Amino acid sequence: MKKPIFDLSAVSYRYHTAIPAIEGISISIQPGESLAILGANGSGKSTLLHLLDGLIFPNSGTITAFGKILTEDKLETEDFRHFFRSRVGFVFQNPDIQLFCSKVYDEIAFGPLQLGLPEREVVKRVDDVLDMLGISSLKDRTPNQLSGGEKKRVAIASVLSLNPMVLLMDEPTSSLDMRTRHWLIVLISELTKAGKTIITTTHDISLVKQISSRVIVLGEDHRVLADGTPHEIISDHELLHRANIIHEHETDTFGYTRKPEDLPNEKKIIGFPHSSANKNE
Amino acid sequence: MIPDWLAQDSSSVPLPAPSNWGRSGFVEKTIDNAAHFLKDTMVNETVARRNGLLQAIDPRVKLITVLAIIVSVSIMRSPIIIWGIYGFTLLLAVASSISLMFFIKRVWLFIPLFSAFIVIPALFNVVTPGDPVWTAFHLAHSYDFGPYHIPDTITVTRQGVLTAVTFIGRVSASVSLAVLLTLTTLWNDLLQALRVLKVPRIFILILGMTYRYIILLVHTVYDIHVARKSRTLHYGPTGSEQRWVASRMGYLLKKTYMISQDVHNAMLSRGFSGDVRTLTPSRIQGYDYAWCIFVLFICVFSIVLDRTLVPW
Repeated sequence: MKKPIFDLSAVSYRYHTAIPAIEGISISIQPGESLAILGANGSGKSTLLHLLDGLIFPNSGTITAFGKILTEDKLETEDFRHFFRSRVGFVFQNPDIQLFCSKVYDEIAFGPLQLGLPEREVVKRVDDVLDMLGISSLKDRTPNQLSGGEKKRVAIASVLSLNPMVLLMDEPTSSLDMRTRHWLIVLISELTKAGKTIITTTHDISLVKQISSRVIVLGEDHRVLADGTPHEIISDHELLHRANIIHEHETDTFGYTRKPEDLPNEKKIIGFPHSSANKNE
Repeated sequence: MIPDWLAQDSSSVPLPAPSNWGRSGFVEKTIDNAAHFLKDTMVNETVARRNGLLQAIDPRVKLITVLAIIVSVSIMRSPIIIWGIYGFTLLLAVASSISLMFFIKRVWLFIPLFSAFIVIPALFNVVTPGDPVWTAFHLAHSYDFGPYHIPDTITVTRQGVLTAVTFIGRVSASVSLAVLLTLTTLWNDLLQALRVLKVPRIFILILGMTYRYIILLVHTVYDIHVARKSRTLHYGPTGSEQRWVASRMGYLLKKTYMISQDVHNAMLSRGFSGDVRTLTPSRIQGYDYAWCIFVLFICVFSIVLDRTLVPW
């Protein structure tokens, strides 16, 4: 078995040392894995990604990254920071946070330049990434001139230009139109095939099967509720219901849980416009 | 599940009399101002992306040459030459695909504001003694305040008019050049061009980010006020409206702080360590050198002519 990229041991994190976000999480993430972290709003998914990216640090427990314990002091050292930042890329949920440079081109060049890559190499990477993601026409635009989907593409490009081994993606498909969403799913599949480790947070179970080979479910108590294959997780309706990922009424949308007609009568108050149960009312 | 009132038909709510609809006040004003700011930003970017004489020049060269002309204008004393330079800026505007009316309006909107108050006293013999051209009024007798002398007849003097015309001409030409520079250059390119003036990279990065997030926050302000407008039947007393504005200002400040933390995290995540590295700007082209020589000629020629018309 390969050495894990990340190894979390009893990791807990509380905002302002009082508000729990992550409670006693112990997981290992192997190189090349495509992992989806599934959970309801506020379950701690984004916090977990911030911890994995060394942007915040646990109140208790340890995170080991690439065989080294990840601490604030360690990331202050030039050598380890360079080592870690060139290997782990983070696509934030809100692209407006990530696109802080004046122009798209400068945005994509920012990461490789900070890591001290030669300028010729930076220019080649930026041009290649622009070309690969089909956004060359946007290179002279300012972030304010981009649509939501374009911002997401540029945000991904700005991380891919680092050529990270690990890609952390926070709710990557949120507020994307169907075409951009499909484009992103295809891109994630290709990056997985290329051997990248992809860690994605989502509360969208329809996405899980398409982008991951392993799923971790975070409960509303901020603990790991389950860890398994997409099939195992998605077919466990009771688990998904307990994690507040599906509602018992929200049934036939994905075909994973009970059908509306199976629901008890008192639970058919609002129902679905397309369901037979609703039509009969 | 839904309460009874929610199931009621809201069309039964009577339309209030027009006199009770209330003032639009600050909400409308804020929406208008935010929309105006965003529109201005877009107009500027549209002009800067047009094909034109100044748009084609490298921002660094443009910055230096515009500064050179402004410095030249500031040491000139002949109003004819100074107004000639102003005429030159109009030609540059036309050559840069800028509507003359739009350009003149933008420049003259500021000039009276800054210069009129300063220049009006200079017209009179109280400040600029000389040959009278028009008598304004008479005083009972003259006054002396230490070194200051106020004559009994207050007149506009020829020298005063000349000083005012020269001053306004200098301000008009300088403001026109500055407006030309900002209209024909993308804001971000202009910031990058500051590198030639040895402005530190980190400062330029911060300025660029400030501009970027000001636009984002203006969008937020616009959204907040439009959302308020969409749910407002009539505006309340001034006090409660002021409290609402204060609360939104507080919210915006908090949001700004949160954004700054998130942006800092996003920068750290991509290897930022406090020392910014940027791409080397592209090389200056032959076209830019030709423009430099042309501007040098204009500056030298007009200064020599100025000295001929108004000797030291």
